Amino acid sequence: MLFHPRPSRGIISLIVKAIVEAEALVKRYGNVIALDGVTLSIKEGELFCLLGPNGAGKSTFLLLLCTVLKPTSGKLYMAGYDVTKDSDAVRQLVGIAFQEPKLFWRHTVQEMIDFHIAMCGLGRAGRQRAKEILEILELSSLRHRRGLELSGGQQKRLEIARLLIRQPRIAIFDEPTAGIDIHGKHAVWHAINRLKASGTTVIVATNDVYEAERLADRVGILDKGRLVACDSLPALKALVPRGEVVELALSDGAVHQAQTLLGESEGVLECVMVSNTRLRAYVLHSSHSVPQILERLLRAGIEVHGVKMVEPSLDDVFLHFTGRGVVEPEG
Amino acid sequence: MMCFSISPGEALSNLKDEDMISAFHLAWFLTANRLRWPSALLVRWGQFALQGAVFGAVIAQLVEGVPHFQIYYVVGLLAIAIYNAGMLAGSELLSDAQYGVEDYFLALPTSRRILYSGRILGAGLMGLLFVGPPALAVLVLAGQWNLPVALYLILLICGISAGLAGIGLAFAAAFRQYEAFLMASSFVDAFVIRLSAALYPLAAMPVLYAAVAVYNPVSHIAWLLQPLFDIASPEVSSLGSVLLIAWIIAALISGDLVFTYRLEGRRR
Repeated sequence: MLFHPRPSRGIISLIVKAIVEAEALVKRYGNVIALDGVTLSIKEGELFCLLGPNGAGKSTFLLLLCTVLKPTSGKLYMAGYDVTKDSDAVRQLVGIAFQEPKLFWRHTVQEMIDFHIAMCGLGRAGRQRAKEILEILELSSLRHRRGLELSGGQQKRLEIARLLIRQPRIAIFDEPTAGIDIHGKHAVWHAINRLKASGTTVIVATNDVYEAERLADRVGILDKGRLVACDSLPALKALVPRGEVVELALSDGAVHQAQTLLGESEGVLECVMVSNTRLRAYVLHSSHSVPQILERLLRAGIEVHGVKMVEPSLDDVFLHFTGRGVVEPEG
Repeated sequence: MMCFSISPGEALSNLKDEDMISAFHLAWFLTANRLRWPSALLVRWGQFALQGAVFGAVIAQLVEGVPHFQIYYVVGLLAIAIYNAGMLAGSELLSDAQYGVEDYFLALPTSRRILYSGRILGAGLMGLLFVGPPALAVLVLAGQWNLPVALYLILLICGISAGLAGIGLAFAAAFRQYEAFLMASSFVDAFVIRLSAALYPLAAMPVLYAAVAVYNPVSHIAWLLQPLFDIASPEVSSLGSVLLIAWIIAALISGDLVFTYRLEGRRR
């Protein structure tokens, strides 16, 4: 069996408790506030996704969880241990796959894995699991390649493999599929789901809305260091007070003008710029509003390349709470 | 707040048997990295040989009153190389931090003290790699080769490199930035090396300089090595060895304190 189920702790296991608890957590880098009063709890055994654009503070939060950084203020407990006072105990429970692979250029894949197994005290079971994980992540044939000879995607998979081999009680993935091709993404998602099924609490930071929708039991949205929303996907979607969503494809540069124009239109609840060429309008009744929208735009000389009705998604949840897309518009 | 039946203290005490093994694994892993780059080692040995052979021969022609001054000079170079191997542990740490791999080490399920111990042991092995082969070659060239002396020499090189690595690690953890570390360590090295009696006898130094050199760890390393190469060293005394041991203990403790309590909470 690839991921070994954790032994049940009898009746205690029936009560789902918070394994991560953050209270008013703050992390500053000089004058820059990376995390600003984050309070959240993550239950044992759940798959929690932290969603936010680049620079939102996701990686900082994860580095605090795995004790690589210490908080400036606030409290952070992992399985009841204070990360500041009991960091050695916390590290016994937590493992992380970093956003940027932390590899050793002159060591081979096998040597890096062997070192990891030795430092984590995994023994024979770890070596057996390593073989299986390397197979699943298609790294077996690369065992004798040195770190510098691996492609970006291969390095990323090796970073993830180390965490999967360790199978800690709390597994943290920082943008696990960034830079990996679609085939590799599915392999990683599959492995993460199996890890969760084995009883591991999984925390994934991502700026990929699709990845969060696919994996998460609960989602926390982080924006400029603040946790602006945190709940299950259906609960978050229910919080978006909108009727229907119309997405317009416009010429580059016309989005701002269209946003101002439609923002004042009757029947349009809100207009949000998704990218330099895409605008999303939230309307009460699309059958009435879409013709009016098109007419106003055409009258103003704005070329419309396409119109489509879209289902409210996590993207809309993010737009609602932050006022912009996960991927920032250019310029 | 949930509590588990095992306290952090108990969890740590359960780990202690494995701690030293982890430290050795780390030390070997760091050293293996160096072994993968043999050309860098060859360059270091080549520089040492060139300095000892060319500069040593020239300076020996100029110096009167010290018999076999070239050997005296080369043994002094060995003492400086041992000190440098210890300081190198600090630059290795910051280089790892710069390339991000230190974060990987910091996230491993080990204590900071194990990481520190691993780096200290690694510095000992690094000293052996950098200084061991030239030192053995000098022993042969000086006609003093025999196995017990060679083994004792190797032990001294490893022990002193590891012992003084605490200084390098304390500097690295304190300054946190590679450039700042280089500036600070170069400044300190400039005084520690020049104000030592490694390359010239204490008796030949001006009184003020000699007063400083007598407390300098590099002087004591040289004085400890000199008898192994059959150089009569009037400065050798049991007090000197005690002073060197005191230096090593102070270096290890200060390194441990700064590394353990400062690195963990470092800003990035």
